[in-house]
This record gives sequence, structure tokens and C-alpha cells, in this order.
Amino acid sequence: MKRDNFIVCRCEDITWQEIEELVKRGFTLEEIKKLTRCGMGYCQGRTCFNILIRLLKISDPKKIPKKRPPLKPISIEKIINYFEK
Amino acid sequence: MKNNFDIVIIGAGVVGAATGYYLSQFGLKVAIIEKDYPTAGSTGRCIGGVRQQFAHPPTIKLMIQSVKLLTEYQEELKWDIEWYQGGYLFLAYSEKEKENYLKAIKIQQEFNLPVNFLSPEECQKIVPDLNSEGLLGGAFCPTDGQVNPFKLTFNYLKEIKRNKGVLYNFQKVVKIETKNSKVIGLKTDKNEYFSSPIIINCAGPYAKEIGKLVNLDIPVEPERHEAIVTEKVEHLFPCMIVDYRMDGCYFVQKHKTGNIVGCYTPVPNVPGYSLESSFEFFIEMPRRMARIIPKLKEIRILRQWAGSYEMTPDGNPIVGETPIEGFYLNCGMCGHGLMFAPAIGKALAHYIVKKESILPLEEFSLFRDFSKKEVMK
Repeated sequence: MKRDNFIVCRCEDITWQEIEELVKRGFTLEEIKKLTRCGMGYCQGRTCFNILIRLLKISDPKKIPKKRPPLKPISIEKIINYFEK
Repeated sequence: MKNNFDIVIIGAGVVGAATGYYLSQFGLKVAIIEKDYPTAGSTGRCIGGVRQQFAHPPTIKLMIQSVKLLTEYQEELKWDIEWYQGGYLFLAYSEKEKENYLKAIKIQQEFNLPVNFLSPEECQKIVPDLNSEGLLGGAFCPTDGQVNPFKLTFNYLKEIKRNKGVLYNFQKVVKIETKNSKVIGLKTDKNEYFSSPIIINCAGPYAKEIGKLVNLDIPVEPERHEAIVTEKVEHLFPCMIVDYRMDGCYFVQKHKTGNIVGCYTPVPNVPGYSLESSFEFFIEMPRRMARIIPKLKEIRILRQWAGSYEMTPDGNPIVGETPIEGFYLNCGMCGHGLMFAPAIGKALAHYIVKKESILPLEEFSLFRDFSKKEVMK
């Protein structure tokens, strides 16, 4: 598979080439997340971060953006109905 | 010596970056020392609102200038910062709230801001899905807006580097050296020494800690605020919606992406540096948003996070000189760092270089009387 046009982030439509470009310019994964929104889409990084961590060979867990709650997207209606007194 | 600079800025949030940008434009050699990476603190955690609707005249002047500068960056300098003037709508649910807005509008109109108090029907023209139950109307300024905090900061930093400035990430300032009450340089936890006759404290919630390094008490206390973001949806409303009730909230739809981001001010407040997310916020915020726009119920929440507001006793920032020569402050933004940054960075840079005030900075001095409070916090 050609890596250049390989889509890393399906939610935000970001290719490996775009990521590599930012890595070359010295940005960390946290910064790349904020600049491209990779990992901030519907999957919350569940698809893209795993690919990036492998391709960028990141082993230090501190360099991997923190996972935020909730575990999976949930509608406002469900939250309200579930917790209504 | 390689670490000789004209200016050393502590903190690469949007305030430090804006201040550095304007100083570097005067041809000064700027270094920014950041303990994490740029936007890792409050800048990267804010929801991106920019408004001119304040009650304190110096703040209104400041914000008119910021809006002008953001427009310039986007229109003339062609910076990609997602600046979008969709307005700010402050909703009134009681006569008292309405009266407060009307008072503020009077002051704002003296500065020729196009602010008006709209009827509930007029509010619904701007926000078609707005619930009008109990609504008395709203204060609306169409030239307020939103900007991307990351992109704005990174644009400033790019320009600083172009002007020969240097950004040092992952270095924490541990010591500030003075000689005869003048700053001469600072040391980081990487044991690097930076010498400079001017050091600017743009450390946001950590401004007080930095002040301690020169035995200066800066009245800035961090408070935890939380935020939430939804999935992307079609455009529902253009403006930031603010509900100032005790159990109110504020939220905006990002124009570029369609995500809705929002937060509320917890009562009582949550002092301290904690950035943990709370379950209370997760179940409370959706209820508050859906009360204002019932249609939001269909939308899914993607993520929640927390950030620090750096609060001062009167809700206004602390900018300018200190008793230590060469040690300047640009901190205490009280949750308004992003919107203040363009104008306040420019004003402080002008003050440092030319000793001239392009904005009434004396109103934001460390030496002011802190007993008067900003009403539209």
C-alpha cells in the first residue's frame, strides 16, 4: 500500500502525508492532534491514534494524548433521560 | 552567548505568543519558554469565543481592538485562524438580568458597538430553534465571534520564528535572577540559562508561581472550568449563546467544523490546578444546553475536558510593570485570554518598547484598586 495518500483519520479525512509533514516540522502528537483535529472526531482517536502510534513509533505513554470521557458518543437525550430524577 | 535575548517570555499560550509576536516585530530577539508544548494549558482548552460585550469601558476598548486585529490577520495577513463573526447572544430570563444588559448596552453603544436588546422573536430569527419559554429577550452584538485558539497561537509562533525568535518547549522556569531589583535572566529545569533584561510572565494559571520566583505576590488564582463538545452537525446557529442564570451555560457552534462546544461556570467555584473531568458536569451540561435549544437532544456528546480560568479579585487582567525592573506581567485573564491576547499583546509590546499606551493599560495595573468587579464575567 502506498503510504502517501493513506487515510490515517477517517473522521477528519487526514492523510499520512499531512501528518508526516507536521512531524518533519517538529510537532508532537499532541500538537498534531490540535492542528489537524486528528483524534478529535467521532472515533475519538480509537482508529487514528493506534495507526499513528505505530507509524511514529511512540513508546512513551506521556506522549500519547489523554483519552477523554465518555467512552463512546452518547446523545444528549439519553444522558438527560437516564439521569432525570 | 547563545542564550542572550532582548525579551524572554514565560508561557507559550496565546497571550505569550501574541506578546512575543508584537515584540519580535520591533526587531527584538524573543525567546519563549514553555513548560509543556504551545497551547497545552488554558489556550488549548478554551472554547474559542471572542466578544466585545463587557461592562467595563477599558475592556470594551481592548476588545474592539482585538476584533479589529483578528479581522486584519485573516483578511490582510491571510492567516488561517477560522475567525468568524457570528455574534454573541446574552439571554435574559428575569427583569433584573434584562436591566443589567440594558445598562451594559448603554455603555457599549457609547463605543459605537452595534449591540441591541432583542425581543424573544428577534432572538429566534438568529437562533431558529431557541426555546422562548420564560425568555425576555437577549443582548446581541453581531460583530462578536469565534476563532480557533490553536491556529491563532501557532500563527503567532510561526511569525516569531520568522523574526528570529526561538521557542523552547518542555522547559520549566525554576529560577529568575535579579540584580539590584532588576531582572537579568532565568534558569530552567533543563539547567539552561537565558539572559535578558526583560522577562514577561504569561504563565496563565501558573502566574502566581512564577511571581514567587521574584518574591512578588500576584493575585491570580486558578479555577477549574469544564467543557463539552458534540459531534459535527449542520449549522444550527451562528452565535455564542450565553445564559447567565445560576444554572446557566454558554455554548457555540464552530463555524468551520460544525461541532458544538460549551461550558458553564460552576457554583460554587472549584479552586485549584485540577484538570480532572467530573461526572456531575457530564450529566448537567447537556440538560442546560437542551433547555435552551431542545433540538440539541438529538446530538451526541463526543468528549469532555477541563481547563483553568486564572482569576483575579476583580475579574480583570493584570498587565504591565511590577516593582522589579524588567519584570512584566500579562496574566490573570479570567478566562478571556484568547479574546484579549491580540490587543493586550500589542499594547504591552508598545508599552515596553515605546513607553506609550495604545490602550488604557493603567486600568489593568498590578497596583490598581481590585475592589471593583466586572459585571459581565
